[in-house]
Order: sequence, then C-alpha cells, then structure tokens
Amino acid sequence: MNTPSLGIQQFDVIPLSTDTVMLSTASTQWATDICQDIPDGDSQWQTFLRALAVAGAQQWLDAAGLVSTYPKNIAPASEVNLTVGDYRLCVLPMGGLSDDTVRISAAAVGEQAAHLYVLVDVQEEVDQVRVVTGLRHDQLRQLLPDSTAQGYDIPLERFTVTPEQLLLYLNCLDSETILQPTVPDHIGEMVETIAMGVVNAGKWLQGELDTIAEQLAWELLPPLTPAQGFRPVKAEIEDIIEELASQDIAIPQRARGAFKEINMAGFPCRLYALVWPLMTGDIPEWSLFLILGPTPGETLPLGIELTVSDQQEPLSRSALTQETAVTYVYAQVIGYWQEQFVVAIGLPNGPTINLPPFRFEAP
Amino acid sequence: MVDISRYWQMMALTAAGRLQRQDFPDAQRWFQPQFGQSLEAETRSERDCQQTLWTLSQTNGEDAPIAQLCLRCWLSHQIEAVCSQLARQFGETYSFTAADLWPLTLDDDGQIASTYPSLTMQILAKYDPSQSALGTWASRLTKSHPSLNRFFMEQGLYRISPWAILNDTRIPQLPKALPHLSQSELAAASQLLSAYHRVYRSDRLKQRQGRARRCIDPTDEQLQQIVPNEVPNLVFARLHDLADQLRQYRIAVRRRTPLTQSLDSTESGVANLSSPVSDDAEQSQDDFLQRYRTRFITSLDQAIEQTIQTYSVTYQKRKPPQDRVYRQALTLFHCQGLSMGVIAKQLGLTNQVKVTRLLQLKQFRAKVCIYWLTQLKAQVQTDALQHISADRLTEIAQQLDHILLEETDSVMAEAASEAQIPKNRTANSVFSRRLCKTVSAPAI
Repeated sequence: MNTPSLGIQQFDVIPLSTDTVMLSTASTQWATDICQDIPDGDSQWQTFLRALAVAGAQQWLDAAGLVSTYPKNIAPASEVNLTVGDYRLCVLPMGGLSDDTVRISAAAVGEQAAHLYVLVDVQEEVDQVRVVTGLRHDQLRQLLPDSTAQGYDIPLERFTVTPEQLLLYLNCLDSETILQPTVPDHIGEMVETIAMGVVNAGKWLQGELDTIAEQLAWELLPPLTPAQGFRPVKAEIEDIIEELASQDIAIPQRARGAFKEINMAGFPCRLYALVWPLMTGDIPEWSLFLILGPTPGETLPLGIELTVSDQQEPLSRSALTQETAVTYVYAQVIGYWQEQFVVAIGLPNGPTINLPPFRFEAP
Repeated sequence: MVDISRYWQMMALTAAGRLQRQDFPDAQRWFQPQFGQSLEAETRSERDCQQTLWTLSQTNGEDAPIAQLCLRCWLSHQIEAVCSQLARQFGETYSFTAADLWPLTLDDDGQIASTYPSLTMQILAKYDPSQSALGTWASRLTKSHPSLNRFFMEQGLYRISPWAILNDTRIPQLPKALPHLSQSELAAASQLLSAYHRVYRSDRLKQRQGRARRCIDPTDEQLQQIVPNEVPNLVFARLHDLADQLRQYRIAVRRRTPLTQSLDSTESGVANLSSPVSDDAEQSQDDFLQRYRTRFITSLDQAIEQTIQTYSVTYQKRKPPQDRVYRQALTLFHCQGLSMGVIAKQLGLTNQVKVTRLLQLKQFRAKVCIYWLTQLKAQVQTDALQHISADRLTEIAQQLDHILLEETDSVMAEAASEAQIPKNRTANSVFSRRLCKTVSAPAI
C-alpha cells in the first residue's frame, strides 16, 4: 500500500514571514495597468512581476519609516527602479520558479549604478511579496570579472544583506561609501573562489585548460604514466594513484587531470581533479575524481571535508578522520555529459570554500 | 498486505463531523469476487486493478457506476492520509487538526452515479492513466485543492499553484531546472510551456482587475487552444506534470537559499540570516564598542521607547487598530516570557504567525540600533563615523545586536528562572528586560 509521502519540502508551502508585504490595491492596480501596453508576452509578464516587486518594496520601506519613490508613468526596467533619499535601488523580482542565480543587468551596474540590489520574492497569485535579501554595489564589484557583459548572473548565496541590514544602510550609511569603498585587504582569496564561471574539464583531455581554469590558477598535470614506468622523481599524485590502485580504486590511463593550490584557513592544500569519459551502456558519461591533499611538505587539517554536489544535493562527501593513516581525502562522481558538479572544501565549524563548477564538454 | 476493504468502505464524515468508514455492501459484493482474491494473493497489482476499474468506469456499461464507486472509496483513504500528514506536519504550529481539513476534502456524497463534483469525482474526471498512477495523481490534486489552499492561506501558509509556477517560468530556465530531460523532451516541454504562456498568461493579465485571484485550472477551451487536436485531459496532465517537476527544482533551490525562512528562527528572535559575529571580530581591539558600550546600554530605554512609539503609531492606523494588542503582545512576550503560540491564544489571534508578524522581533532590534546610531552620529562629529564603511557599520550593528541578546547577569537569571521563563528564549536578554520595564511604565 503506497500512502502518499509528504515532506514539508514536498508540500512546498511558504509561511507568512515578518517581511511579507500584503500588496495594496493601489500597488496591484498600478502594476497591472503599467504593463498592459507591452506587447511581447514574456517581457510583459516579467515587467508585471517587477512592478509588483517595486511597489511592494516601497510598501515595506514605508512601513519601516522610509520614504521611497519610483516613476509612476513608466514601467519599471531592470535597472535602478526605486530611490530612497540619495540611495538608488535596483529591485529584482524572483517569481514562482525560484532560481539559484539572479540576473543583474549591465544597466544597473554601469554609470548610474544602483547602491543596493534588493531581491524580492513575488507571489503574484496572492498579491504578496517578501523582501528577502540584498547585495551592495561594492560586494557586487568584488564578484564581477573585468568584462562588459549584458548582464551578470549572480549566485543567490552571494546576496548576504538581510532586510534589517538594508534598513540599517538606508538609515545610517553614507551612500557614497558603497560606490567608492576602501578596498579591503582580504579580497584576493574571495575573488578567486567566486562561482562566476564554469570550468570545462573536457578540455584537459586535449591537454588544454580553458580561460576560466587558467584564471582560477588550475595547472595541468602531465599524462599518467604506466605504474611500472621508472621515473627518477615521481610526482606526488602518482603515489596517491598507486596507493588508490592498491585498494582497487582504479583511475584509467586515459584520465587527465589538473591541480590547484588552495589556502584553507591558513592550511595550504592541493586539490587534484582527474577526468575521463566513459560509456554506460549507450550513454556517454564522464567521471570526475577529486583528491584533496596537503601542499607537499604540509599537513592537512583534521576534519577537512571534500564535498561534490550536483545542482540539487551533495553526491559524495569524505572527511579526514583520525582513524585513517592516509593524508588525503578523495571523492568521485559520474554524470551525463551535460551535468555539472560543484566542489566544496570545508572545515568543521569553520569556513567553506565553494569552487566554480566543473562541466564536461567532449573534446 | 493490501487492505481491500478500502474499495468498498469510504472515509466519510457523519452529521456530527466524525470520521468513519462507511460500508457499501453492493460495492463489496461486486468487487470481492472479481478483484478481492487476486489482490490478496498478490497475483494482481493494485495499479492494475485500479486501471481496470477506471477503464470500466469510463464505459457506458452497467458496471461503470459501481466501478467508479469502488475507486471513490479507495481515493477517500488517500485523501484522508494526505490530511493526516498535513496536520502532523503543520498542525501544531499553525493551530489546526486533521478534523479541520476533512470537511474541505472528504465531500463525496456516496451516491452511486453521483453528479456532485466532490474531490474524488474531480480526481477521476481529470485522470489520465497514461501519465501517472492514480495514487500519485490523487495526492497531487488533493494538495492543489482550492478549498484546502484557501484554508491554509487563512492560517498564513501559501502553497503556490502549478499554474502560477508555469506562469513565472521563463523558457530559458528550463534546461537548468529540468536537467534530467533529454534534448527532445526539453524541446517538447519548451513548446508546451510557451503555448501555455500564450494562452493562460495573457488571459490572466487581461482578467486581472487590480486584485489577484488564485490561479484556477485551465478550462477545456484554454487546453484546446494550448494544444489543438489533443484530448484536454492529456494536456492538463502534461502541464500538471511539468509544473510538478519545476516544483521539485523550486523546492531544491528554496531549501538551500535564504528564500526559505523557518518560523523558528523568527520566534526565538535570533537573527539566523545575519552571520554571527566571529570570535576574531569580538576579540579584536574594538575601540568603538569599548568606548560606547556603556553609553549604548544607558540610552537603551530611550531608543526602545522611541521604537515602541513608532510601531504603536503604525498599528493604530490599522483597521481595526492593533496598537493595544501590540502592547499586550510585547508584555506577554518580554515580561512574562510566554511563547508565541500561547500569546496567540490569549489575544485571540489565529496562530503564532500573526504574533511573529506583530512583534517583528528582529526588525525591532534593528530599529533600536538604528535609532541609537543616528543619535550618536549627530552627537559625535568624527570622520570615523561619518564615512564609516558598509562592512564596518554591519559589524558594529551586529555587535550591538549581540549586546542586546546577551544574557543578563546571574541575579537576573535566577529571577528569570523563578518566573519560569522557558530556556532558549530571549526574555532573559538585556533587551527583553529593558523593554519590559519600558512597556510596563505608565508613561507610554
């Protein structure tokens, strides 16, 4: 007998939160009217959602004692669309299909840049919106690569400003300090780990690194040599592969790899990534094998954890425990060619570094 | 072991609103010899049995009404199970029981060849066996049942409809949201979605006169426009299925992002979204707070008083005015340390969500900090504070919040335990103590 199973996530309800705004009739009427003349169906609907978000953000600010304005005679665009005193805000609507990235248009970053990007969850069906989180312009700057794209897809987790902090800034912070911040001294590490690009590991099979991988300081490993091959100086990775082979964990000769130095809370680590294509039945797949070890001459901190996830959830996880004698941890995932994997390295009760995702485009 | 009596016993409500298994002897006499034995011997699967019943019910044959009744009986059990699980999951927090859900969903009149559009009848009417198992379909439609969703909305719980998900999904989002689909499946899904957008979305915008209504199921006419030359039920099932897959993506995203805010975090008043002050930051020589901590504490009453005033004025404007209820809720929470659920009962509010939204704990503390910082800025004309960086300001605000949430000294703590203040509550914090004193003072 199969009774329907029903987790909280499966039922998918949104409780009213303290930052949920019930849109006024004036707000919804304006949003409906302002987008009537936009012809193209898709952009009309997106504008409609944006209008609800802007009107809702104003109501939320108003309730918190802040006066905000937006032009009533034009439909809000994906640029600065709300102002509070000196502050320029870019309200970003999130519709019913929640997404884990948020598109910020180039117009909202350029000359008339917004000080704050405010993410608003729009529940069109019930005339409700919720101010979820925000991103400051200076934070965005730290994320952006030096390119002039039409827009930037920013991972949602980069939005770290809470609604309360938004109020704090709007009340107490000189807006200029957001546009011209003094550069903090620790940004180098952060910029490196920003998930802005995707590394195409398929290139490695041709003995090449793509631009993203190069920017992220990945270095190609030489092709694997047969285990019996005599070499005066063996690379450390070959020792590890041999050791794995002795445990019946085989990495095929056709695999190619790259490595990268990572500083994990002061511990110099080295992450190896090996890829190879494979066929399961008729389906072409790829395998990503990751090995996290110390930079030669160093030791890996106890408890360090290596996690590989797909878009949904962690697939493979391993941590360095006291019990084992090995000095490294490894994880392996297999996926279809179009699947991407994200690697995270973390310390218990400590920081986590998320690396840009890997994909595999066949050579 | 299959409980075959479910095919002739219907979960139904008595006039007094009690749930009971209503027997249909005719259905039993008809069902038992044809299906009962093979089901019990497991030589026939339930799915197969249901398929046969459904096919029979679609004919004009004389067995059609009785076959349908058997399915309606079975479905009533499925519906009841969904209700029980919802009550287990949300009932306590949102103050309802399964018994509140039964009248909304178990509305089958038990008539053979019934014409009343009960939930069971709707489930069968829209069912397409080529798309899913009946159990899955039943659970899907029960969860989307309008009257159930209306009830949840009144409790402060919103469940997005499949149609609203489809409305808000852009075609370019599909490959990422549905990575398991093949190229051709993806192309089909894109085609279906954009056809749906053209019809349903533009109708909705045209009909939306200011206020929104919950999205209703597309009409047969709309379904025909979306995919001409196709059975409406099949189009309906395909759209429902697409929405369901997108919902899975939505759920996965919401689970790992700040889009989902748990109610617990707001209740305990601990700002879970703001990153906690790191040890480093606390240990670092902080001239600012060294210098101003005492001043912050001593001027706290003023800041609290001001903030209560601001909220009171806002709540006074509500219809009906809420300022008195607000003051009472403040007292009950901060002075008596009652839980949100208990406060809701005492003040006659629907449930604890209403109290949470009334008290605005996090925002209240933020406003206290903002008030104090604004005062300070006006008083000390130092460059340091005028051109403070965003990061530094955030850090200071977090430290102030930290001070507010700090436990009071041990004497106070003992007093608190005498007052039976539950553990892990903020009622024992510096903030709560001061707020309680302020709100109890006759001046306000």
